[in-house]
Amino acid sequence: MYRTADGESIFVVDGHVHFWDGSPGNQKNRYAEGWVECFYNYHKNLSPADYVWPLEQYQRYSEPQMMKDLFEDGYVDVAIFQPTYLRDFFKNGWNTTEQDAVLKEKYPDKFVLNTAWDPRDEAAGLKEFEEKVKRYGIKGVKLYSAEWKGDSRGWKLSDPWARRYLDKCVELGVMNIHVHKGPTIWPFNKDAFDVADVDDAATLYRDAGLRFIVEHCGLPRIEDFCWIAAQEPNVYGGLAVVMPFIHASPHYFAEVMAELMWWLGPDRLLFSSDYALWSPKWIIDKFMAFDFPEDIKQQRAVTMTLENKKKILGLNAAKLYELPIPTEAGSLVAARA
Amino acid sequence: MIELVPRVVSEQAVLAALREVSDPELDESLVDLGFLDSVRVDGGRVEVVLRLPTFWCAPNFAYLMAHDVREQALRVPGVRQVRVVLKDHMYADEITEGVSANKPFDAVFPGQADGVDLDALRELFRGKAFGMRQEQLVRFLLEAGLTDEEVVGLGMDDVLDTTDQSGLRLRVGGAERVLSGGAGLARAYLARRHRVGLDAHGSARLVTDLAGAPLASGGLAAHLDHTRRQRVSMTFNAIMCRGLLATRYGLDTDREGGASVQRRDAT
Repeated sequence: MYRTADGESIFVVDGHVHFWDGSPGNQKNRYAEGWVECFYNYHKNLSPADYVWPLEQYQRYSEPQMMKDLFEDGYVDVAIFQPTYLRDFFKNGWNTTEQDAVLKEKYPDKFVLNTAWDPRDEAAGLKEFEEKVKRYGIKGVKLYSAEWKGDSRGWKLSDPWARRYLDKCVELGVMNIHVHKGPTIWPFNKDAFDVADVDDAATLYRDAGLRFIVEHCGLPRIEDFCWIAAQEPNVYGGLAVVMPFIHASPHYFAEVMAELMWWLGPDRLLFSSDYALWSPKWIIDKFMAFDFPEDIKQQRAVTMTLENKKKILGLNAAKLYELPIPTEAGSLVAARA
Repeated sequence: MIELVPRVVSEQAVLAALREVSDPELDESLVDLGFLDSVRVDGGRVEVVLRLPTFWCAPNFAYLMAHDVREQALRVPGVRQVRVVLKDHMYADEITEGVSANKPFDAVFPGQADGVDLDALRELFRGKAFGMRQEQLVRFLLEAGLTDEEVVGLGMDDVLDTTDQSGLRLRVGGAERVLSGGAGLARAYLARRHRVGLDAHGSARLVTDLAGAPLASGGLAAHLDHTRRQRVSMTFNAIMCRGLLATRYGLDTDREGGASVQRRDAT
C-alpha cells in the first residue's frame, strides 16, 4: 500500500515479477550467459545508482530479499509471477511455475501465480498446462513467443496449436493472457516485435472473454501496439520496461505514457516493475510524483490524475484477477459501484 | 591508363564513409550510436569491428548493418577488401563470415528468413524514418508560426536553402522567410524523403504521406498523430540502445543524446 501525503491509500499490484535462477550452476551454455548479461545491463542501465546490485546477487537473489524489496520497501500489496522457462538455456529453467509456486504456497495472499505454455509442446503440453491450472488455481499465463526450442526460433499466437491452447484457456477460465512483446532481442522474422498476431487473437477471442496484456507494450513497436489496442477493447498494456524510463529519460517516459493514455486510456494499463530487473520502490515514488510536462500537455489532451495513478498502480490488475481491495484503498471502486 | 586511386587509404576516409551507415531501426548513424568499435586499414584491406548493445540484438538488423558497412567501406577509393567483424553477439561468427563473404542473409540462416527479405525490412524502416523526420520538421514549422494550410501547401521548390547558417530559408505564401534552427531538420527530412523515392520535382508537395499523396490541411493533425507514434517508438529505442551500449562497454554518453532535435522542437 502506498500512502500519499494526504493520507490516501493506494492499492499496488506489481503485474510482472520473477524469482529467477541465473546462477552459473544453472546456466547450460553461452546463450544463458548472454541472457543474464543482457538482463543485468538492462538493470544497470535504467536503475538509479543506489539500486544497482552486484552481478552475483542479481543472478540469484534470496527470498527474504525479494519479500523486502516488494512488500516492505516497495509498497506492493500483490505481485504477479510471470514465468519464463528458457529450458534450452537453463538447466532447471530461468523462472518456472514450480520455482514461483514455492513462494506462492508460502505467501498465498501476496502472490498471484501465473504459468506458461508453448504450442510447440502440442498435446503433451496441453495436458501439463491443464494439470498446472488445476493444481495451482491459475488465472493467467505468460507467453514468450520468441523462445527457442530445438531448431525453432519462435512461434505465433496464430499458429494452429496456439489456437488449441487458447481454446483451453477459455475452457479452464484462464482469462489473462500476458504476451511478451518486448525490446529488441533475438528474433529473426518470426518477429517477436510484431504485435499483429495479438490483433488476430484478440479479435477471435473477444467474445470468449480472453484479455491480452501486451507486456512491455510492444516496446520497439509502440506505434503498432497502440494502433491495435485502440481497436481491440480486450488488449491491455503491461508497463514492464516502460516504467523505469521515468528515471533514466523522464521526458520520453512522459511521451510514451501520453501515447498510451491517449490510445488506451487509464483503464487498460498495468504497472509492473519486472522485478528483479528493477525494484518497485523507486519507480512508484517517481510515478506518484509524476505529471506530464507542459509541452506534452499542449500536444496531447491527457492528464495523469491521482485517480488514473490508482488505476494503473493496482485497480486495473485487481479487476483482471478479481483481487480483494482493502476498503481503505477502495474509494474509487466504491465511487463507481 | 592512370589509376586515380590513392595508394594509402586513410582511416579517416573510411570513417567518413561509415558515417553514412545508419541503424535502420533507430535512423541514426552507427558512428554516432557508438556501434563502431574499431577500424583498421592495411593497404587496400579494411577491417571494421562492430559492437551492439546486447548479445541478442536481432540478427536481421545486425546483418543489414554489417552488410551496409561493407558496401560503404568498399566505396572508398583504394579499398579492395573489407572484413566486417561483429563481436560479442550470439551470431558473431555467422554474421562476420557471412557478410565478409557477401552472402545473402537467408544463405547464412537458412529457413529463418521466413519469406521476408532484408530489403523489405529496410524499406519498412525507411518509411518509419521518413515519418519520424517529417513530424519533427512539421512541428518545427508549426511552432515557427506557419498554419496547417501553409505547411501542407509547401512545394519542394519553396525550400530555398537548407545549408544557410542563419536558418531554413523557405518561401511561404509568396514571401521568403528564414526560420532559425530548422535547416538541420529540413536536411534530415529531405534525405529520408529522397530515400523513399518520392517525387523530387519542384512542384511536388514537401509534406505528403508515405505514398506521396498530398495532405488536406484539416488532416494534418491526424497525420501528425500517426507519425508521432513512430517517432516516440524510434526515439525510445534509441535511448535504450545507447544506454545499453554504454552500460555494456563502460562508455560515457549523453543518455538522451538522440533527443537533441526533439528537445529543440519541444521548447
